[in-house]
Amino acid sequence: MTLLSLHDVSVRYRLAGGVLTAVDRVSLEIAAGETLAIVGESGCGKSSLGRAVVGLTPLAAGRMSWRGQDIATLDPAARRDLKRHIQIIFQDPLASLDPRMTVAEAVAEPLAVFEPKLSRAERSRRVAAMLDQVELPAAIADRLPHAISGGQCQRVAIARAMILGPELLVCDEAVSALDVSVQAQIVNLLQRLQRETGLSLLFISHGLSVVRHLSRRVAVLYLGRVVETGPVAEVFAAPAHPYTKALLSAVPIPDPIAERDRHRIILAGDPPSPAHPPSGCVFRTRCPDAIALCAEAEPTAMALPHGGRVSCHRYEPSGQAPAPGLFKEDPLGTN
Amino acid sequence: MSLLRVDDLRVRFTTRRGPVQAVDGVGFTLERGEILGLVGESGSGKSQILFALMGLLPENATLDGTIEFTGSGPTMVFQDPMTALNPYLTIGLQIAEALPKGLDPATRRARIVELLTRLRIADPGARIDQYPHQLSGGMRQRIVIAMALAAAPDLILADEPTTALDVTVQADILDLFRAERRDHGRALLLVSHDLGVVAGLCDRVLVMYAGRIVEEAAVDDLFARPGHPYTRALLATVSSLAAGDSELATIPGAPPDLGLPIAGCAFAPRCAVRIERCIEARPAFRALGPGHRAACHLTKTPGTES
Repeated sequence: MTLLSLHDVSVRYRLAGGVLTAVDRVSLEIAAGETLAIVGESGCGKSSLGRAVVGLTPLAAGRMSWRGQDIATLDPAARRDLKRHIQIIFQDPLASLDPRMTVAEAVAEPLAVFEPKLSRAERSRRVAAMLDQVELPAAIADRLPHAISGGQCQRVAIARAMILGPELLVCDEAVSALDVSVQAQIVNLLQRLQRETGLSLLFISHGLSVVRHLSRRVAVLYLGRVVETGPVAEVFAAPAHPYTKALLSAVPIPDPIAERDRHRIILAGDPPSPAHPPSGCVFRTRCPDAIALCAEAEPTAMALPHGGRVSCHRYEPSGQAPAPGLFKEDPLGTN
Repeated sequence: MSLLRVDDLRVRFTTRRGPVQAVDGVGFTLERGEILGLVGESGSGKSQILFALMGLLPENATLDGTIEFTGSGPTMVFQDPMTALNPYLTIGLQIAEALPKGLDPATRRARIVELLTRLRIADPGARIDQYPHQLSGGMRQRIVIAMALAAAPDLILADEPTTALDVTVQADILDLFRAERRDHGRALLLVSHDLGVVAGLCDRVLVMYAGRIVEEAAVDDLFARPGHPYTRALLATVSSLAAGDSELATIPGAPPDLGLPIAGCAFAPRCAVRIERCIEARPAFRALGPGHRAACHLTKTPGTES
């Protein structure tokens, strides 16, 4: 069943020189227990989207529904309750923890806010159980964030997010700053928590290999807009949007022989500023396939055979050229 | 003669908690026009080697060992272009600082425009008078590279030069380094934790762990026949991600505290195949093939019995 759905959600920021639309009419759904990945590069709006989902940034337009009910119509108690159900973890765990709060205090804090009547003994018991669940040794409970490793800090952030028993965890580049072996440990932990608790994940990342590993569905964002969605395996094996193709083809492969054979699509220039998006299709200024129409009209989302959608004037439903690059024969995939 | 020869390099920091041995007896050579990768996890000492080569170590560091460099440069490209650039100076002035002294203004401007063009910066005549904040992240990093190239160095040191960049921009920057090697024979010493970047760019790779080199190999040999258990564990993590394993391979434990003396192999406490000797004695390098060596007691040199 659908846990969270976004309908034409926009996020805007007021700037000195005008208004910046960071997220532009995005519609997405997350089912209970599933992982939806949001991928895209700096400035594509993926973090703003994640912050909007947890209520850290207000919606400028659009609607968000939780279990079928519009969040705007919830009474204050239900809205407060929703904050328990949707939690977030960030890229830099050290920056997201209070440097003067011990590990145990940091993990206990959400309980103090949402379950103030809990006895001290019961709170300690819950914190200890949570630390155990994220595989942190009890001995670090009294340490401060700077005295533990980056991987341990991220486990503390996860414990703090999980202690209220949320149904949706937004992970904003949660493993991007970690060393590769630590990253693997955190990914394994997230998957185990998901198996054990039926948690849904909104996994925001620019790391496409991790996305491939963790998620079932993916949405590709460019300059605030969803340009393509679909099941990860299908989208990565046969991307329909020129931006998705370029993005996938740019990922370095940890294999020197495969790297030499890799066909890369080089995009012209740098991404435009989201404060001044191009007319028509936002990707057209860097798109190798752009035509005059792309500057004139915004493409509408078209259904893809696998159930996803693509927004591109040049997309032709049949007779597509095979996708170049990394995921050509889906060598990364198991299916 | 090699362009760069480093022998028994040691970097030690004096901290409030006592001495920290960040680089612990590192030796390697780098040839003209070669791209050498330095890989390892945070705190393995790879960046400190670059700082030592540039003479940029902080005051609380002690440097030992020999560094022989015969050529012009080296110059360095840092990870974060925003902190490497002066926000108050135009792009042109910052690049001009790295050009030879005594050029007349017209020649100097022409040289800068030529550099910017080589780095595929559109409209270089206008960019030259802009400030860093007016440029995108990818363009800023190209400016930093332009500064590094302005002195026509034989060696560029690059510390995670694409880590802060988007993947489509990264691909473009890596191409620039390839072109500088191909067209001008410049060598590159690349520090990276991204094994994909290393696989695509480097000729040879040094793997570092806890301030020591544990393996050295041509890039194909390293990925095809990793010799050191640490290299094997690192590659297993990466390939398990690519293979779609339901549970990812990890390396148990954490790197050692470099403030404490390490008697044996630094990786021994986490090593799946360690023997008693690994805890007691620091392993010497053993050859695995031409240009391929690993510092592990269990490494068998082909054709010999140990």
